[in-house]
Amino acid sequence: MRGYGPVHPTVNEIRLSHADLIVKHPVTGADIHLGPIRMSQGEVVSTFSEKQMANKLNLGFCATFGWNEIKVIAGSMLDMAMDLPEPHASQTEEYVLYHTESVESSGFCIHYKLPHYVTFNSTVDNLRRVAQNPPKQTSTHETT
Amino acid sequence: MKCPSPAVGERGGLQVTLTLTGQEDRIKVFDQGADESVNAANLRRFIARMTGCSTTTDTTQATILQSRHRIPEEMLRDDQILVLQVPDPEPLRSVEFDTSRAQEMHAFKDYGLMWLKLYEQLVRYGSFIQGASYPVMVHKRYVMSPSPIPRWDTPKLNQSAHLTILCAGREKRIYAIPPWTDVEPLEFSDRFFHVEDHSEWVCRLSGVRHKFMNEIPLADGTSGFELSDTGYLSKALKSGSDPAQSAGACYFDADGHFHQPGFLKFEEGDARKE
Repeated sequence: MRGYGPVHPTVNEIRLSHADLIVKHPVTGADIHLGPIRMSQGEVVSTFSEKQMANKLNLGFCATFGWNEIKVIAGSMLDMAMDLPEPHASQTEEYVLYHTESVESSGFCIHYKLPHYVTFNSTVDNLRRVAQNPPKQTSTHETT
Repeated sequence: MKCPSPAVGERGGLQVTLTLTGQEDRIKVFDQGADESVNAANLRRFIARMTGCSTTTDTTQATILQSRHRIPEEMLRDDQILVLQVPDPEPLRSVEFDTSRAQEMHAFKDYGLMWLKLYEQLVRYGSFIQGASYPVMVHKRYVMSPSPIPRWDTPKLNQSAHLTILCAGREKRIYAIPPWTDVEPLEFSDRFFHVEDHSEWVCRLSGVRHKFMNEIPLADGTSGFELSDTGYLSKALKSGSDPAQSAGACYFDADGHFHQPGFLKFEEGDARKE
């Protein structure tokens, strides 16, 4: 919705695994193994910005519950982008939390299936008015 | 894993309506003006099942109206609440990418970029080209997105008797317009905000004019027109082409005049000027 940073990383490694889930028993205090849980981990590398770090590779890392190859790649890219000293607004926590949570963003895409004919009608009204009354050429466009 | 109810556009409105609605309420839910659309019908059934309220398609009978991007043609009263669904609550987003900075701009009433954007539209296109979601100034202080209602509906918010609540679920933002509040579309002192020009369009079902119409492409390449507000359309159909017999007073009268004289302005020489 608000644009994206220009990042094209290389995937270093994607790990899909089971991790042991261990919790402390509330009464006895002993560690209890509840069972395995699916985990994904991803690492990407990129030179990222030609100006700032052209001679270096930077590492981005992300881990999620479940086996989500695309999500850990996306998360790793975000991890790298958000460490920049003066990040673009699309690389700030505020932007990322608003716009890239997977359920949210899939919902935003699904919303395009809802009817939009009133909004479109309003846009067409403007296009017609501009077509009927084209703006006058200003003097700066004239050649001498 | 998929969320059983995807975070689509109406979630914010739904959260507000479910919070407000009790068993005594009578709700009207419409999408793009239509009560019958799949989205509106599903929401209406869901809200009624969750709250035990009754439902209606008649604007004048409803206590709470949940709308996706229209305000009814009939005037709302002070005992009614309008709930507008909002996809993008930040009017400054087109000029300031960062929401935190945009909030600072609101705090300082720093709206220079917004005025500059409008001025650039005039220079490049000869008129304002903002379609729906036309930005408004509330209480002469805050620039606000009125949600993607068409410009036809924007002036209806000015000094309105009813309470309007707007909610963007995805962005977790809720805001409201109290009754009897100034809500003015952004415009210059010599170049004015204009509603969509549907003045020549006649509803092919009811014969009504001077209301917001849907434009329907026909097989021969021309267009047919139908009232967008289906609740109003059903009243118009009952009483011939004179809906005044069964419908309440409207924001725009039968000749297209807005109910607050002088609020909508026209440039010299504009054909729409009375």
